[in-house]
Amino acid sequence: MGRRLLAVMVLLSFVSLSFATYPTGPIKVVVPYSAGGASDVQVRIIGKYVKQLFGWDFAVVNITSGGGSTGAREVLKAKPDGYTVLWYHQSVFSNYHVGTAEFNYYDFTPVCIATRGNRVVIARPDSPWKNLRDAIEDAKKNPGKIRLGVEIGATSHFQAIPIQLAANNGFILSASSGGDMDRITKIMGGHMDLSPIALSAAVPFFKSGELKPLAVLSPERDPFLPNVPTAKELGLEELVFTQDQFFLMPKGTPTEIVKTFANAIKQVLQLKECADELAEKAFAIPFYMDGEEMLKFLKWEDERFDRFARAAGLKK
Amino acid sequence: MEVLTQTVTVGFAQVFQPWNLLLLFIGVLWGMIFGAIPGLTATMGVALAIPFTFSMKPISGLVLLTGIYIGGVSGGFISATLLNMPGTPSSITTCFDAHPMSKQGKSGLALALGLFSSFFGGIVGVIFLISLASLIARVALKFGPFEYFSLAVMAFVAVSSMLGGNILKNLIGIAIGLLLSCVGADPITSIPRLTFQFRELHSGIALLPLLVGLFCVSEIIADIESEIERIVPPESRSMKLSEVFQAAKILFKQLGNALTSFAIGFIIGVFPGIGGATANIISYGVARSNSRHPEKFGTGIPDGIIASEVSNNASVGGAMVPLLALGIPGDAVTAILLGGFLIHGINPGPLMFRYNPDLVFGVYAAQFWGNIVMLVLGIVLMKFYIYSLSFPKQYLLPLITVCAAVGAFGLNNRVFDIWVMLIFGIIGYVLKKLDFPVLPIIIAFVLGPIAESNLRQGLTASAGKFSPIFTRPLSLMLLIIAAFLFVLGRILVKKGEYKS
Repeated sequence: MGRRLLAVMVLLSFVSLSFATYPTGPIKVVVPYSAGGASDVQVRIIGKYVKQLFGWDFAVVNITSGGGSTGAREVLKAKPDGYTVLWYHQSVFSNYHVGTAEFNYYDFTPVCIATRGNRVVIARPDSPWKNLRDAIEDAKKNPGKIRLGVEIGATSHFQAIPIQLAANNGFILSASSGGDMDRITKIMGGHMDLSPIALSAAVPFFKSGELKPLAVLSPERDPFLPNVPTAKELGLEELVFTQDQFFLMPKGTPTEIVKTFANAIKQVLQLKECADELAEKAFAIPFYMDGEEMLKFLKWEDERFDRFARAAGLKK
Repeated sequence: MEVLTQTVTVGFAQVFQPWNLLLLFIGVLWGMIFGAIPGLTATMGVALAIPFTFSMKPISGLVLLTGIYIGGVSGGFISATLLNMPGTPSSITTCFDAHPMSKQGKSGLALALGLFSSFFGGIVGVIFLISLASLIARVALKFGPFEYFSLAVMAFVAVSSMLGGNILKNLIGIAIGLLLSCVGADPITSIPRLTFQFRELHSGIALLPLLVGLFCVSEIIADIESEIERIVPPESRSMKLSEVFQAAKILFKQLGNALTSFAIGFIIGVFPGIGGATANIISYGVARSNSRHPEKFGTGIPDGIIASEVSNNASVGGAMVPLLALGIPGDAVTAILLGGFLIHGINPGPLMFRYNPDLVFGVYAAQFWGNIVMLVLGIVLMKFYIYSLSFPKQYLLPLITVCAAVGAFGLNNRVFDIWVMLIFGIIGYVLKKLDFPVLPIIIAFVLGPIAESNLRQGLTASAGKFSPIFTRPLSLMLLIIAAFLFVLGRILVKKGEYKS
């Protein structure tokens, strides 16, 4: 009996020792999008301050294609030792519900949510609409004339669903491939008329007057665009979407490691410099959430995506 | 004009600080090495260097990255010439004439031609970039999905009609290429297709492993089989200064070819998502069809080297246009460069001229001087490059294989891509044995997805109507050019075949 106890104690001390020293090497952070994109820039900024505060190295690895699912899949099958982390956002829900990915958030170990970026519906500055409500009324009156740009099956498509429903399917859903920049280019060139995109991608064009915002999709007005109404204010209750970036680890990662990692991120996000840099370079704000609270949020979002996918007949 | 003068005064002053100048040299050298080794690309060279720029001043970081880009696109001709393996995807057609010329014992001249053509394409490209960036970018915006579709069709028809050889084999090759390009996520709905439940194939077959496999690995297998001890014949292991002058003279005589190839490369570079490899193939095809002796193409004539190398370097200037003017990357490298810019807090695009004008001029100046540095380094260090590629093959081939594997892996950090490369290496070797051309496969693989994705995007925007393909003037114009090039290509191929 005594020997067994000793063995357990030795084992325990070993385990706690190994946790105490996590991490002993660089942590591979998989960004499932290309270098220089909004999510890439954000995690690199966070990584910089993690290095400053804790001396940890974030090895950012960009694994692109498949709307983020290729990179996600690499983490899904990685060793659950805390040395491979996925930096992801709401695409985890959209990919699952349209069938481009066979996994959802619960196939990972959720670590923490870190930042929030807002979404905005854009149009050309010479378009006749003051806000999104005008565009919807126009589409109702002239069905089949106005092109609403989306990336089929991606989050922008989900954001278009409530818009399209409000307009009695009056918009033409115009497909794009290649993310926000592709839709910005198409709108500027007159090949599409409006589209939901990440605020971070659009702000430079608002400033230069080459695009105009029709509505922000966040619950409250955006600090970068205080004069632009939210979709909710325009009577579109369902149209609340944000881009929340979170860390996921492979399923089965020990709780202590998850907590150590999450705690480091929490402290980094409290730094004013970090928050300022996120705002300046990525138009994102620190938005921290972990544990039960995070799971509840993910579950709520997941159910919404499920509902929208069914409403639009996307569900396979 | 104002931009030009400010580039000269502000930009050049910044780049001429000793530290920045040193970084430019390091960048170009680093890029040329990446470009010269099959499997390692300019994209990867830039991506690897980005972390080093974190701690630098923005202008220094941008100078380094720009240098790598220029060196990386240029270096590809070295291994194309000496080993018959394109160092980067954008020097595929350089192999066709530079390698035969090298085999005739004129490696020095072939390399000098590659060097000078790269320089020409690069430097004229910068001048165009500086003077016309925002204007060109505005015009490019007018290109919608239907225009892209017609452009892809034009490229496709033009290039495939100009391929000599057995038409049936070419058509089979095109079909194979198109089929391979369909593997993976559907470009519009992202639903996987032709993956046979094999998850690794969800994201499709990447161009680089396919290309390196078909062109390099197959060549390596063939080399192992052959009796030749050294890949680079010892008698042609240098590049003399006289050859450099000779190359410049030849280029000057072929100014028409050079300018056409420049225009093709630059314009293709401007369109996001098409890139240097396509520019390279098209301008080679066009040079051949414009030539009075098309049958000589592929036998080791300067015309082919010039067309190929001018166009791929011109596409660098072209790809920088949408990046700097609109913040939209024109190709894979500029996409990474965009990341490098953002990390330094610079948002390329319309606002960059307002908020960071000095940086814009710095980038322009770095481009300009980068090309000159490339020429100088090329002349001075060519001996070293040749030397390093002329090791006995039992040392060199494993090294190249490893580098190619590293390159394939580095693309997306997946081991799977190395397997793709090896499998296509074996396929390429078998095709070679069967005397089956691989170029049609590549062309179809590169252009197929552009045509498909844009056609389908266009159809969603037009609510399913095909008519805009013919009613939109730009689109119609491109199709007419396509038909014209097709007829011309067939006539020329016939003529060439009768002659030879």
